[in-house]
Amino acid sequence: MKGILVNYEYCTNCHSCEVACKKYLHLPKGEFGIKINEVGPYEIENGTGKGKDRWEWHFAPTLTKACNLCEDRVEAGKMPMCVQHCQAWCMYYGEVEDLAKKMDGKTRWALLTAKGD
Amino acid sequence: MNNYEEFLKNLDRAAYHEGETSWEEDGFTVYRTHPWSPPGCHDSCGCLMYMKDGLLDHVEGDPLSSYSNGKLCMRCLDMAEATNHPDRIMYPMKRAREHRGDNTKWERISWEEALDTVAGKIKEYSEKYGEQSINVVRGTGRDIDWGGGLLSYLGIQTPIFNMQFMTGFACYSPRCVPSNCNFGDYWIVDASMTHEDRYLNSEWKVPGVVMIWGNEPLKSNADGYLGHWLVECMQMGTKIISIDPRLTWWGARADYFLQLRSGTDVALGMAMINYIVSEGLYDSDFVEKWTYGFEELVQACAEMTPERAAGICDLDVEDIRGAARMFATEGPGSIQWGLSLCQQDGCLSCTLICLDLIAICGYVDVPGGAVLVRDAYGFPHHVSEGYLSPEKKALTRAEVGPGAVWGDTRQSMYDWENHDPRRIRMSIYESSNPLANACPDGPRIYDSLKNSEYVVGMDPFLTPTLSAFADILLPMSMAIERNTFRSWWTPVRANVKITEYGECKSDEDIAIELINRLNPGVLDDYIKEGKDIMNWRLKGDDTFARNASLNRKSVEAEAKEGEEQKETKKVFNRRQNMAVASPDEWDHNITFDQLVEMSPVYDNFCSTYYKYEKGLLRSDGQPGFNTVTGRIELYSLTYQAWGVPPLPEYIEPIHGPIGNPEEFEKYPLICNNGVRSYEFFHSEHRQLETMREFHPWPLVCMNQNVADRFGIEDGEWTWIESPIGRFMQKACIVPTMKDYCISVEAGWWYPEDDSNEPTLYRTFDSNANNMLSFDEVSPYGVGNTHKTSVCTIYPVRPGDITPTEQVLEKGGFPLQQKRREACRTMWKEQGIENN
Repeated sequence: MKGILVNYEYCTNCHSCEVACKKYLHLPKGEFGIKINEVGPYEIENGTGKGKDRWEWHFAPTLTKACNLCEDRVEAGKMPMCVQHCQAWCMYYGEVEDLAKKMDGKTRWALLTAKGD
Repeated sequence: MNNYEEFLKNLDRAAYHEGETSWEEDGFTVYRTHPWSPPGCHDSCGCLMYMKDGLLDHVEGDPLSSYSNGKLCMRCLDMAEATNHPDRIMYPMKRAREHRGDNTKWERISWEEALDTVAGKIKEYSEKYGEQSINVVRGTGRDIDWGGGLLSYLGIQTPIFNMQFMTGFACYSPRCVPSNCNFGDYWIVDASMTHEDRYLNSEWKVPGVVMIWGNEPLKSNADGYLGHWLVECMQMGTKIISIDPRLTWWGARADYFLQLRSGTDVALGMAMINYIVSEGLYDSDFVEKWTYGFEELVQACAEMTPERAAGICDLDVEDIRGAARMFATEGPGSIQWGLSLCQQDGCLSCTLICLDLIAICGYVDVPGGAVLVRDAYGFPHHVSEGYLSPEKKALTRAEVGPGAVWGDTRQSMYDWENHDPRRIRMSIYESSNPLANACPDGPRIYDSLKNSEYVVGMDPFLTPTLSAFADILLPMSMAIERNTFRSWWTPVRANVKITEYGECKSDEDIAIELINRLNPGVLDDYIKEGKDIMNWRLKGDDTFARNASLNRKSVEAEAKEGEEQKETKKVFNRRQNMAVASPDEWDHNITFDQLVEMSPVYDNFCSTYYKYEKGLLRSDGQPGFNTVTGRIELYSLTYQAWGVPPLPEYIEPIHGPIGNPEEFEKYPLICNNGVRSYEFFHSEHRQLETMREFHPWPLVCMNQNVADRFGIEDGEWTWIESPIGRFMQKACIVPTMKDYCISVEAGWWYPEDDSNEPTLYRTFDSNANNMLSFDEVSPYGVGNTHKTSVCTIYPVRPGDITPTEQVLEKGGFPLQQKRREACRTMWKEQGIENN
């Protein structure tokens, strides 16, 4: 099964994946193929209060029912729209088994799959 | 991305048509190009333009472009919506002066009539009042001064080339000019962008630590630098120090987030220098061999201990020490610096502390450090006043302080306000919308601008500024409707014309037509349109290049004899007008069409490290920096010549709890102006439905304590008021700022509202210019106080008078009404009827 791996530690909420997808699928206002969700910002109460452990503020995308992982593009040798345009360069496309191996536990990753036919 | 090799290995180059600049694909004709303008931007990323029936259908990033690797921001991804927008101006149009503000009165005219009229007016005002009575009001992003510069300097021959009406030249110049003077060159954070093989380059190193200081590069992508390059570096191990009154994406991921009080940056920088020196963490070899004035710098910072700075900046002393230690010891390091450093009282000292920190740590021109860059192959990325003769340069009004020959905005404003006989009579707004964007005290100056004698607008859209003032509108091309190239640093990137829209022309097209009407013979005969100008640049026929090299020789000659301060001043006055060319040799047989095939083209100068050791920086070929001493000047001889303190000094902002406690009691919040968004470039893109879907309204951000104290609910329209005036934005409660801080967004107007007076797209309603003063320039003559302005906030209530009503129907805010009355009395005494 194919999927999209996101190293969401680095997602900047730049909206490029959302817009690239929307434009490609011609989705109307308010609809998305991929959508970023935001957590925070808040100061972590029991954190060390210093450096990287002080704040929680991350963004992470999920795929909607409109997503077909850009089957046609992939067939033509191209990347899915979201992966190609991701400015933070934190998205990867491939076989989920291969993608899972990239998840190193050093930063936060999420493996996304789309709804099959 | 942490493995570029793997990315390249998996990239199906054939699928993206490697080696082709255009092809047919699924019913589309596709063009490979590096566009930027408009939508305006400081970068130019690799794009694939999908065209159908002559119209842009959609845009993709080009994964084969080493500049941007297929990544693209939401604005370029939405370029079709901007390009095909129904609100675009399609034809030249005119209206009678008495109809300014009434957009039902525009009348379509031919280009012939439009250009003859504009040229006629330029001649008329030049003859009557001198060339300096005409200004070109430039903006940024569309072509960064190219067309407007040509028009100003070669066409009108006026030095009055105002930057938007931003007071104190406070955008890029206060960083750029001092850098060129004290380092001899400009520098950027080395994210491998000078190398075609990018992150795989054998010499490049991942930056160890980057300080993100006074900007949000992810959203602004300013000055030819893509902010997301630094995210790639982070994934390869770069550590971040974030210096900002706001928590940004960087602050939440930084090893040190130094949330300083606005305007205290110099104190922090001096304390870091103090700590790094006293702990012996600096690069003593580099300092000894390559810098001038280290002892004086140490002396200047001796009193600014981390403890003292902690008090001034409202920071934890351990954070200052820790960040300084990390910056000095975990290099190579560099600083991503930004606009905030130019918009505070300490402006020119801000620039010094950044330069000093990089220099004493030995990070200059090292792999992964602060790489010295010039415009690729010496193609200047903007047209400089080098085109002007000394006599015309001297026409500039007032002593403008260091940094520029350009018209001094503040002086222009005073001239208008005082009805000075030397005031500007005719204005050409080229890629700028100052009412909505960068004109502080807009409501105060609105009347005067409206009474300019003749106003030309050059824009793809009708803006509030043009609706209010313009007598003639010239429709401007979008990116895919013009030929041009960008050489802001490296590589050289061509943007190719693919189609036409209405009767739109590019800035260069219009400049050529006007230059030929005003000064026939100045341009070579073959130059008929934009592409010819690009060939002219590529052929080296550009007279500017010749002037620059002449200037350069005389600067060197003067430098040799220049011991006296007076002499030094002369040298630097010349220097600031001089573009430093890259020593790389461009093949002048290459045409623009060939450049399109070749883009992007990297030069060797920018990609070479340790240029100062190799004799690449100076025209005499000697090792060293391109400064008078040949060293990096920690003691700034340039500043000394300008009469500016040559070493960093901390000055307390004139506004705020310490600078003006009485005022701060009434206006107890420091307002961080100018917040940028992914959706918009300055005042552009507000008419795009997709952008507004993501970002419908301007946001004033504050933390919960501030909201509670001032009775503000999340999402509520909120007044932000200074002693000068007020404006409204929607409250957004986030814990990103301290209890005495808020932030507001820049550039808002509402294209969905009425364009006519007395509405003007409600451009005054949410506009921070209402609270800013154009009087306030830093003590150094450049830089202003916008980032340290103070305010109070309260909820908007039904029946409140809107700024639109206040400005357009009631004669402005009280202070402005008072000032205007005084002006009117003065004019009356002088027998002046109408202003």
